[in-house]
Amino acid sequence: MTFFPFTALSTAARQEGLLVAVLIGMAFGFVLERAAFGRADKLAAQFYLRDMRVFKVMFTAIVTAMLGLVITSGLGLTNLRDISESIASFTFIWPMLVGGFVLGVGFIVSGYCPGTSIVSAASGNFDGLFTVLGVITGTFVYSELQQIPKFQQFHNSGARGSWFLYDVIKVPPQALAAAVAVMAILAFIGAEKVEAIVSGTRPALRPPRVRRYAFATVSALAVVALVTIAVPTTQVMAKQPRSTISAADLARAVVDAPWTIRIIDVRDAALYAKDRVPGSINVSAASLSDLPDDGRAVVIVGDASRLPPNARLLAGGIAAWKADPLVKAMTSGGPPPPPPSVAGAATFSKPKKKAGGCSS
Amino acid sequence: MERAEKFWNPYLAGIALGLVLLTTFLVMGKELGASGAANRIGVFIAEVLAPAHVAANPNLAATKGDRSNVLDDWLVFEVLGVFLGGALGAVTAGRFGAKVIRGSATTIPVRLAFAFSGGVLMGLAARAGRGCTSGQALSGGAVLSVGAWIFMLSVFAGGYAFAWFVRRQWS
Repeated sequence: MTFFPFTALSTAARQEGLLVAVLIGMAFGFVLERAAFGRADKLAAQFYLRDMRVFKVMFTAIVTAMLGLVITSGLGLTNLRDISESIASFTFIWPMLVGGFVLGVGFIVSGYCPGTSIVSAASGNFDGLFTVLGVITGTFVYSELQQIPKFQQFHNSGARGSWFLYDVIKVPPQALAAAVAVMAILAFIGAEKVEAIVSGTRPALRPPRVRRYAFATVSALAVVALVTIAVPTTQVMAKQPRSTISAADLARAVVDAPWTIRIIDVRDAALYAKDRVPGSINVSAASLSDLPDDGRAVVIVGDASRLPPNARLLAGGIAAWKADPLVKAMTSGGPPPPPPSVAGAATFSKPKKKAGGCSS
Repeated sequence: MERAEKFWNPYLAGIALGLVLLTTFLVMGKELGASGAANRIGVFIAEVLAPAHVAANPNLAATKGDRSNVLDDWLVFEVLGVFLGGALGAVTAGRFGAKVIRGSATTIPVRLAFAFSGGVLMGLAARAGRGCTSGQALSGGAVLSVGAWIFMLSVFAGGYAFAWFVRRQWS
């Protein structure tokens, strides 16, 4: 069960969803402004160790959202893996390593990161506006560079798919999240010491009250996260019963409203050529995660080790489909016509979701 | 001036930002992004100026996906909100006004040239990294994606490595 099953951007409620997007963006922009992130001088201070505000705000935010997510999923309210796969891009080790470094250089040269430059421009700063224009130019030039085969090769190098730290070190996500929270607090204390050394002042004897409350909140959330490991629903999350659709329901949908569903057949092309659900397309199970979300319900035929969010599996597979009375009534029983260009249908033209927040 | 310097405590701002991020995760099932919208705006401008060029480059054409308008996307609307929210924050704090933030030793043309060229680097980098500090480091970092953490650590490494070379800009 998901807390809110990602219907916010479905075709039916798209306008409302986009309105929510503006509201969420406003909250994001407002908080960034209040955090002093619309100011190049305040942001650049991070890299001269004078004011480690960027680090403090960013890691407090990461820890807060991370703990909130593992706690809600630990209680069975959300599905951590579904949400995480929907949010995080695939990992591409080399372009991410190089891209991160280049972005860091661009950060200290411009004084902003792409998001904060928007807030700066909105505050009336021309340097922020020029950074925004530069970012637009850079993203465009990148598409031109991708025309070079060697560059495109680099763009896709070190591909690891959906890859999470708790899979690498094989611990419960809640335990890792709690550990990250503790490390963040220790790093904050260290950062304050560095600031004091660089500025030549002594750290305040008693830290501000708001800081103590913030640390206490984060620590309490970390403890709650650890407690949820013991909650039995956590086990459900790991092996959630997959949502399925019966052959009868699918047959009715195919007849009544085929435009509301998208049927993806992940079986071998040979099997697909033999029998298939009308209107289905044949792709490999591996490319399922590249499936762009167009608001239609997704039905998977065959065996997918991991269902995309919103997708349901055809219960009983193609055999159940063929045995369904409605299907029998619809078809004459003969073999289906040859499949529509199997080769062309094998890939999606648009790996939309997995391009991540900044290149999708 | 005193009022204009009033910012939130960084930890408080961090918790607020984390709650916005968590809300985005749970309500939209999406990340908070920035440069993805920049990419779309770039493609949109190119479509107006040189539609044939966009059609000829599959990377540009693919940005559009199956929507008829390249700007019809969650991130574009979210970034519109970031702009409005940022302006709201600046106005209500008395910080709104046309200006150029620069070190006293830096002239306005030099500062704007730095701002633009840094932006270009970040635009390129965000495409390589499948996201910028918002969409990749912040959002991906919060869901403990390995790539996001590689990217994030690399951002700090790049900033610290290059800070010395541009130190005059900020003095």
